[in-house]
Amino acid sequence: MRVYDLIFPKSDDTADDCEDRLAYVRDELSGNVRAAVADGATATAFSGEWAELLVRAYCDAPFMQWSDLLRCCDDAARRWTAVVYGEDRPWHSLMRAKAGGAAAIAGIEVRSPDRTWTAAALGDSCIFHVRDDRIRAAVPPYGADDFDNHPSLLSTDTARNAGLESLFTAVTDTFVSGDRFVLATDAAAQALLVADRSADGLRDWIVALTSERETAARFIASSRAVGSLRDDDVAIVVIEV
Amino acid sequence: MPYSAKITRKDPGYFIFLVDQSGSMEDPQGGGYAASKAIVVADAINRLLNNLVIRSSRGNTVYDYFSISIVAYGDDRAWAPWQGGLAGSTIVTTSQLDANPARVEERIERVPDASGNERDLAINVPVYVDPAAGGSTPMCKALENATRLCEWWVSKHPAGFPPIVLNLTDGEATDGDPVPIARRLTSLATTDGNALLFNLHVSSGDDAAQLYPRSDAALSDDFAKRLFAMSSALPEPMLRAGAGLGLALAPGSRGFVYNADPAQLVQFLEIGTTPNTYATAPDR
Repeated sequence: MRVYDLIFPKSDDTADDCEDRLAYVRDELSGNVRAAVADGATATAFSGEWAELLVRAYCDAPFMQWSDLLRCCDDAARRWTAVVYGEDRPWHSLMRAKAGGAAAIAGIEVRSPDRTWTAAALGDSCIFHVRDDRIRAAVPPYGADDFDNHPSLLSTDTARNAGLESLFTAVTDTFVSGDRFVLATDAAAQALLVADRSADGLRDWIVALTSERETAARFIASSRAVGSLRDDDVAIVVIEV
Repeated sequence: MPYSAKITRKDPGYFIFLVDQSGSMEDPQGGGYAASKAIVVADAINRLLNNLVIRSSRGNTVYDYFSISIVAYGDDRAWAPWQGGLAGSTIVTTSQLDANPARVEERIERVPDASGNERDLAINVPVYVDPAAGGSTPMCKALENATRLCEWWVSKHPAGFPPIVLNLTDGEATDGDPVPIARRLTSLATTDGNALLFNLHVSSGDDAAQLYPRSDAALSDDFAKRLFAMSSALPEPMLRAGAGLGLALAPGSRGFVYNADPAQLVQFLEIGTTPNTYATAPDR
């Protein structure tokens, strides 16, 4: 399996400002790949840190069920508290932290030996199963018109997460050689779904995302310029099987 | 859609606070409050400025998501009352606010430690504006200053969220009719919409407040009707913010409160400084 990972901050931001995160890990023995993307909500506190903890937690122990996700969140939230309150911070930072962080997450485990995959997501970060340059399945089952500014997100205030179970999606299926899995935070996920509306629309994206990093960066910049991609942070992982 | 431009560092939100510091602001706030109206207004503005700094905080850094002007008026003049490192400034960014408080006041806040256990922590919270009161009510001068600031701002940020002007007063203009100046101010526009002018009247009396009315039918005097006429309708993001605070607002509700108490003043500032989807909920 080959894995491509791409992070692009908003066009006027620096890499340090980006609150989207990704992580992946490959098991050398089995060949299995785990990958996750998370989108920290800008209006919440230390959301990049929260997104980072979530993607790492997923790669350490992928959650397939809601109860696994809650456990993963509890542990990540404790780490978030240690990161945020473990050092001296200015008053505004402490006041902002009181509101907590929030993030969307989508993770996948692709298993080589039995050619199966399991994807799980909460919020508007998505995983697409792509075959012959068309989307076969989306997790969560979003359409291009389903994105808004108020997605349900995982909070560092773990009590708030209890009511989100109905929004948690987990899917297991099989793959064949040549399939791809694309993990994308909201802006890119929406753009990919729009691109998939036309027969060859997704191909340009796949070619760009699996090219040299500079080519991918130019593609992202031009997509933003023509309005086919919202100017938001972008995290993308492509897994070729 | 108007009033939908995103607040960014390139095109920050811009607020102008017009603060009545005429002699009558020394009178006690109505509704049984002991503090003067000047103190109530200064407290609310300091709290709001700190809130804007918190909203601009990422990690340990304050980014310039907002710019602020304050125009105080009283004593036949209108001026920028910034102190200390901000003295002489007309437009101040949130990072400049953070770096240049007039002074700080210690406050005890309950925050977790690294293990998640709650602890009391002394936090130095900035103060920027002191209460003041004296002389007449030159509201027209203040609105003219605000108009000039808005002209400059829309020329520099032609596609950004338009400027928002919040006028806090307890009395009638003593230097002419403010309505034509207000109309000129609200005729200024970016591609996202016209400049917004909201008016709040703080009261020494105990009369019930008029909150965000859609018409002036229930307003009893000419002064209130003039302030209503000067006030912009609340755009969609602010209608949503108001609904989130439990207010029954509808399209056409004006950014106008008459006979406000301190809580209504704070609420007015909160609604009036919610320019879009940016800052309050966990939005993107």
